Amino acid sequence: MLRYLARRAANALVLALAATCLGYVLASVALDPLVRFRGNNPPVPDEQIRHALAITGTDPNTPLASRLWSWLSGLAHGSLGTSVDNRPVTSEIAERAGTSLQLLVLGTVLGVGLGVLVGVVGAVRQHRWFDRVTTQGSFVVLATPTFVVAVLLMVGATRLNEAAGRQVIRFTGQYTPGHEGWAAVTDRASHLVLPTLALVIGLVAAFSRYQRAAMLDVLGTDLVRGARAMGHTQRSALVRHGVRVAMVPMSTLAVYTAGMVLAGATITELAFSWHGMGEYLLLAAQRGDVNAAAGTVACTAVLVLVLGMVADVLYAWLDPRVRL
Amino acid sequence: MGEPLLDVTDLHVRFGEASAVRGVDLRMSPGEVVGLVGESGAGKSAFVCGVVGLLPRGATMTGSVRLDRTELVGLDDRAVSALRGPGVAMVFQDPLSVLNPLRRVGTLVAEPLHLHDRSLSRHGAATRVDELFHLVGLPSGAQQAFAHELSGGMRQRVGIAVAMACSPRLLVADEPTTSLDVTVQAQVLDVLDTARQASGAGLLLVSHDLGVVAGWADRVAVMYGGRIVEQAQADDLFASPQMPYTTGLLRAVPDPREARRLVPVPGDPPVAAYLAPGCAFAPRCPAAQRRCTRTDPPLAPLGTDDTSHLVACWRTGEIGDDVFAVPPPREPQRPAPGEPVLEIRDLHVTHRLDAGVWRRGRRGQVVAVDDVSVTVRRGEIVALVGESGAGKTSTVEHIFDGTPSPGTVRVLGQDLAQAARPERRRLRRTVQLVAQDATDALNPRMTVGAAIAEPLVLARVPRPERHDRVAEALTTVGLHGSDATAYPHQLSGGQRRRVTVARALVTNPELVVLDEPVAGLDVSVAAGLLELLADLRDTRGLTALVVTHDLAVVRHLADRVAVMAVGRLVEEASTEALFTAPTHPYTRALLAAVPVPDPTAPRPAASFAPDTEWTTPTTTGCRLAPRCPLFANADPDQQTLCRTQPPSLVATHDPTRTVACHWCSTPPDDLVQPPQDQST
Repeated sequence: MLRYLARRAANALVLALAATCLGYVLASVALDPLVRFRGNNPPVPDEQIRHALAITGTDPNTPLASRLWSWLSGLAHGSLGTSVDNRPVTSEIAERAGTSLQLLVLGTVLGVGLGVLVGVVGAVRQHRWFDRVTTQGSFVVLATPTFVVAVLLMVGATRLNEAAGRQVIRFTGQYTPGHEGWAAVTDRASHLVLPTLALVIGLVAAFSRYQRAAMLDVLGTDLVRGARAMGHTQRSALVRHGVRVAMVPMSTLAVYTAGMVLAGATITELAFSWHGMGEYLLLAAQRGDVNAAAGTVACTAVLVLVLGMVADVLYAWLDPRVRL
Repeated sequence: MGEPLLDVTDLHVRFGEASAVRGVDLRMSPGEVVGLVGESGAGKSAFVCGVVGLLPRGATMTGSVRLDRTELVGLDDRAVSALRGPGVAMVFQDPLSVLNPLRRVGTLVAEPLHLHDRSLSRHGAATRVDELFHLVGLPSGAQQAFAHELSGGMRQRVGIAVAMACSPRLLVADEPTTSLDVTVQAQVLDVLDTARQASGAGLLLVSHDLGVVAGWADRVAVMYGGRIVEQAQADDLFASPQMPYTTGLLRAVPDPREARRLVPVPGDPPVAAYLAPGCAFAPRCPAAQRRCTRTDPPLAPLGTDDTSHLVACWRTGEIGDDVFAVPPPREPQRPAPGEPVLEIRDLHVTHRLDAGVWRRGRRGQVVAVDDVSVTVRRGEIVALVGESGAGKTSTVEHIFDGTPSPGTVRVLGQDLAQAARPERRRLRRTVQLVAQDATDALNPRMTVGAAIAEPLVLARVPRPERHDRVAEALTTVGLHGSDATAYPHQLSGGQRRRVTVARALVTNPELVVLDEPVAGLDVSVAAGLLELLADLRDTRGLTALVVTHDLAVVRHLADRVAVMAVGRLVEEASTEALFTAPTHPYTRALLAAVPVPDPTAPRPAASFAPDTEWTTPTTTGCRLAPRCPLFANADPDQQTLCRTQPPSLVATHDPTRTVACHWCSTPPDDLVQPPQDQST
């Protein structure tokens, strides 16, 4: 197990490095660091531009290889460079990851949990009304772009607020400035409702489909029949034996999904004006911020590789048939 | 008969429009063993599921099932579940899919105990689990294992322990040993019987294997088309079957004790959804009359004084022994075997474990075939026999894929590894394979004719000639030339198998390799195929290598037999010699374990020790030593020899026989002395 992890980690390190370098090269080639100096009136003095480019290390006149090298040596010291607004990319990412984490924890736990539940019930009552409704419902949700879902949610929230006569649900930004203590907590919670809901709806739709398929596979085997032969009722056989076996393959999916939310639920963040990782990458592209873009890619690469390991270890822990 | 344990009256099971069970009556006394036999589609599974209350959703059941006077039909799930365990328990065909892969088997055995006795203490359960593991002959250390870590036989023992946990009054075993090797099968059935006797439970043993039923059942019921068509004491049923179907079934089963001719039952088993009125067997029955096709005969006692033998046939008493009459024995005028067609010499095949891209073989390798030599001469049929994992398939695959391995494979005297590429391709073409699973082996989008013509296309046979050759091959295997336009799914399992045989024969190959030729076929259909192969042998001089685990097939077809065990050949002899006087302890165990369709014959015995210990095969000495009865009784010096030196095949006084054993190759006249013998 430990040997396996060590080997996996060594592999992951190589892959992460490759992905990071490619990310930096791609960002340098695709993004134009001069974009924010153009079209200014009066024009920005050359001296000032050169100074700004030197700070971020993105002067197009320096060869790409040496820019990559200096960025990598910065990385070796734990720095991802400076972003165009003169803030260290590292601290910016840490802050935004925290924001994404708030969304992630509640959203994924609720989304995956509910999705699994809906999928199990759908499989057990296959072709009955609940299964039909949830099946159609998930396809509708999966076919609807996230921003439409978000807008619909906001419309609903506005109606609710009007009906209640006060701001029950707030959906712009993460918090209202000026609150303190208990008020700050409830304020944050009321801001969290809609983005989390937007995330949960999508996850439930997807996971109920996966779980339904996995559950039907298990129901097709003799496992549940065997449990009933011991003296379990249909329901207890399903819960005690069927669901557990069908949930094992979901662990991998759940871990990866959680990771992708952390790496940026871009549309959801934008729709609700949250400053998460997804928004950061988008901003970087708009502002020609090479370091921010490369930093985001690097973090995502590391995240994916770590999650892969977590998913495998989790699977091996859940299923004794898997040996690492 | 006193108060019956199980009393089923007029049971019907329907799946939508299809009637799987159509009015079954069956009574069982406490402690009785009733065998239920029938081919696929007979309704056995639907019947037992109905009795245990485990029918799938969408099935409807009417009639009455009384277990100890408790009516099960119409009970709600909770009430039936309370009975499952202490009242009736079930042993399934495939324990791997029944046992939860995420739980240790000890926990699984304890589960029914807790379910039916909420107040049971942890300690009390542990004691009972220990008892149960002892009862089914498993070491108590196996409680910590997961199902996938156990061998097939051990898994089924766990399945029996789960079923026996609450000491049920009725045990239902649905094909409990169908997926097991014969030696393991005999052990598991013995365990089942011992466990049953320990609690005095009745046993309903469902099997397609007449041998299994003959060996273990007191009474036998034969099912066909959703009904019981004959029911009698086992001795009575096997000695004087009355219903033509029973007669046909018994005449179709190959008997490992003698190579008598088989009588196939024409046609295919009925499909539940498409049953015509009248006796379900009428379309296949040679004695059928008008009334047989009009109304279904009731299951009635044979005589007024004999109520134990029940038959459902309009013509009971009218028809004699001549339905499905056994034809006179074959008197083949076969020439002596010619020159070798296939020679496998000193073959070694190893499979690497852990097949990743970078890490192939890191976790070691398995020796699948160790020093195996087999020769097939022109005009003879050689059988390669062994249980699963013996290396049969690895040996045969090697002829076709030819990855470099130590050892040589010669076809028509030429070494495949040495031959130039076009030559090698030509040689390979002279060897044709009939794969085990005809459904997998035939392309579903290709007509039968196109499939059979394919080898001809590869051999560049001109198109007009191809057509004639395909028609000829179809006729040879007993199909019609018009079947060439059919697609595989339009044919029955037996017909598909015949198509693969036709495809192998169409190029007139020098050698045909038959991989488990009748595995998975119903008895009546398998008989037809075996007779066909025997005909080809006698009339066309078929040269074949038959790979099988089924000794009855070997007896019926083969001239010579090579027995494999754990990768090595242990004995090779002419079929007659091997079956009349097996020499190697493994061969003897194998033959003793084969079920015989005759209740008066000795019950199949398991003389080899069960594989309940997870023993890694000793690579230095004889790999069979840990399970061998000779080894167990040998003195320490002799045991040392077994442990250190692998025995090689040596000649015996019978010139056709070679045996690989330190202690049993010694013929009675001491022709060959084992070297260590003088010192003892």
